[in-house]
Amino acid sequence: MSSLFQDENDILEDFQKKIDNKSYTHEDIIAFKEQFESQTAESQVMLKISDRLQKRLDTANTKIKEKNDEIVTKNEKLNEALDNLMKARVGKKASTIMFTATILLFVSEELYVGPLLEYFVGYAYLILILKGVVAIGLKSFESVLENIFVSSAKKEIVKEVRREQRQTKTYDILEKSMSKQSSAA
Amino acid sequence: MENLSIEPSSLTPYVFFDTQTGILELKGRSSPDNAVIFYEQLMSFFDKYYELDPRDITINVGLEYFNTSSLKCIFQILRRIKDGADKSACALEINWFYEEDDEDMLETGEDISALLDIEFNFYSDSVGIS
Repeated sequence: MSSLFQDENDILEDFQKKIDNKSYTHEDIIAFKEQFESQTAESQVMLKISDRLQKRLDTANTKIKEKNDEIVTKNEKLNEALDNLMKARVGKKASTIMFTATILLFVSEELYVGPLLEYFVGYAYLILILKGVVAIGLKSFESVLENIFVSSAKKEIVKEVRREQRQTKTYDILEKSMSKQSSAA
Repeated sequence: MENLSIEPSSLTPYVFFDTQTGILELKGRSSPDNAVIFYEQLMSFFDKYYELDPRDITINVGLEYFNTSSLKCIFQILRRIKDGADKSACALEINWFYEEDDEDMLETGEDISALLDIEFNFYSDSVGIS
């Protein structure tokens, strides 16, 4: 079996020799016809089986593609959820800091700044204005804190990804050098 | 004659023929780059087998997948074994194993059985082919 169509080639060669030598009989032609019929029947069955298996592979490929699309969509949703979770955690952290700062400012204003202003300036509305400015300032302070924490968390993620990439590269280089050494040996 | 043993790979099936019991096992996946080269060794082995010490043969086929070239080679081998068995007056039994619910593989076995003009025994799992 030097080729996939060895049997078919042998039949053809054999009959070609008979034609060249003009030595074929009526029985030879009938035998050739029968062999041709047998080979055709075989080819038909092979095609039928191949088509069936090909269809099965095609169905499997379609299912894999659908699953892949589903995974991509779920991954996007997961990333979105993780992003929201990170923002929520960062917001909570910023709120805690801001709440502490507010209490400190309120206490210091009530104990020191308020009485001092009342003593030196004597205008009650000035204290109200100051309180308003502090409240607006605190809101901006919260936003600044949130931005700082978000960017810090993102930097941490990027650092982690880069570390993983470096590790993968190192493994690849090690693997390549080991395979080179083994092939050289 | 020594047993024939070919370890499986991701592209080629497990092949084992026990010359004492006359059981040939062919299982796994078959989609080698060159099916002719892979199955040539089986073809030559069985040519020798029927020349030297022909006995009854039982073939257990449990394939999950095979490409078209492998199908042609497997068919040629089965036909060669059938011709050898007929000439040597030896019995030939073919057991076709397929995974449960794998109607395609069952129909494939039925088609090959009809083409070879041999009755196959069909089993709907891989029990019995170890």
